[in-house]
Amino acid sequence: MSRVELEAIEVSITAVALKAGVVVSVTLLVAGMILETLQPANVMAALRPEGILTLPSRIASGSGIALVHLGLLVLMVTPLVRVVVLAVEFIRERDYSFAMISGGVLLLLFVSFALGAVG
Amino acid sequence: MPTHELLLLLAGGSAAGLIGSLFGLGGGILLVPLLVLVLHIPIHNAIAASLIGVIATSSATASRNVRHGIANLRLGSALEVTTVAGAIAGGAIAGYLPAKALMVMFASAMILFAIPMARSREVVAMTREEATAGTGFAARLGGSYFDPAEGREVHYAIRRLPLAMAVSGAAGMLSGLLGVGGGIMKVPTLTLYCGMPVKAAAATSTFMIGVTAMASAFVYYGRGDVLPLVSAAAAVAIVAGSRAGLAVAARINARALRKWFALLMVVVGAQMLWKVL
Repeated sequence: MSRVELEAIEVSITAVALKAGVVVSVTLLVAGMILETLQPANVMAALRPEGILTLPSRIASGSGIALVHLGLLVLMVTPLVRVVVLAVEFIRERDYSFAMISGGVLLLLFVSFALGAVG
Repeated sequence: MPTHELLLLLAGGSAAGLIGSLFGLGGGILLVPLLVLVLHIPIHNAIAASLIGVIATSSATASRNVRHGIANLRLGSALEVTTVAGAIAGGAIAGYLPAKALMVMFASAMILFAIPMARSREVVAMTREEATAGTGFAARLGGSYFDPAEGREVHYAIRRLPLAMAVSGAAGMLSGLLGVGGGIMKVPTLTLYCGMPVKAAAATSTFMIGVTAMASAFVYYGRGDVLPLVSAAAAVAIVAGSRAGLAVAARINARALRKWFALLMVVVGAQMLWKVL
């Protein structure tokens, strides 16, 4: 495959990853907000990382806030998925300088995850 | 949340998304004052919601800019190293700052950055040979894109990469501290000092600010600053506004709009300072 073709794929996959993340997250957010208007909760109750563990059971019980929580998590990791996709594409193109740069960005993002998990 | 406040949030978020997509911003510069001044959301929660809104507008707008070849993926990836580091630091520091300090910082930033917002200078066009003539790492960061308004391929080379990386780091810190995307610093720097055409700079900035905002958003999330419904409404509204912005971009006199927006930034910044002081 030529470099031009590889770069075209890099562009397409990156664009698709971004769009998919937005579509999935917005769908979850809108569904969650609609559910919440039917069963209002405390709008000032903040999300906590420890709430992730109970997300599946709360979503199954019809909690709108839980759906919103999931939608926000999907939205928040969409840029991470984009960085991973781009890193993989750089490796496929044998552009190792930029693959390493993307790897450095991923490392920094995992630091932010760790800070978020510790709270 | 009362219905009229939800409608205000949706309208304001849409406006933030529209303005953001036109100028390569995330919309936080409008969203945070709306949440604090009009909806009386505490500033730490407003910043968290704004960061999520920035992720939304970045992801929604960047997918189109990437597909059309306007966003410079390699330059964006290089600048993300310093901008993400800055964002993490900013997000962590914000947790130790009192609300008043953050309000003063945000208001001052709005007034200060109105100046580069009002200025715009289009880069002198290059031929393909001129744009690809350089050597070294920075020479690989130049790019080109087809501009429908000009009906031709636009080529450019990147100058002063160290400056761009330093400003990206500072923009990242600003993002983590104040809930903005950082485009308000990146776009003027890339266009005024680094040789990038405005459209490519705005598109590349939009591409980067999602990762920038994400880096500090997780820090705020871990601290429990993310209010789910406020953040969700802001994100959905911003996505809708940014899609509208993409649709009208070609028909708008961006230069004139930029000056009016700069004026709005000064007025809102002054209002925030007045509220705090």
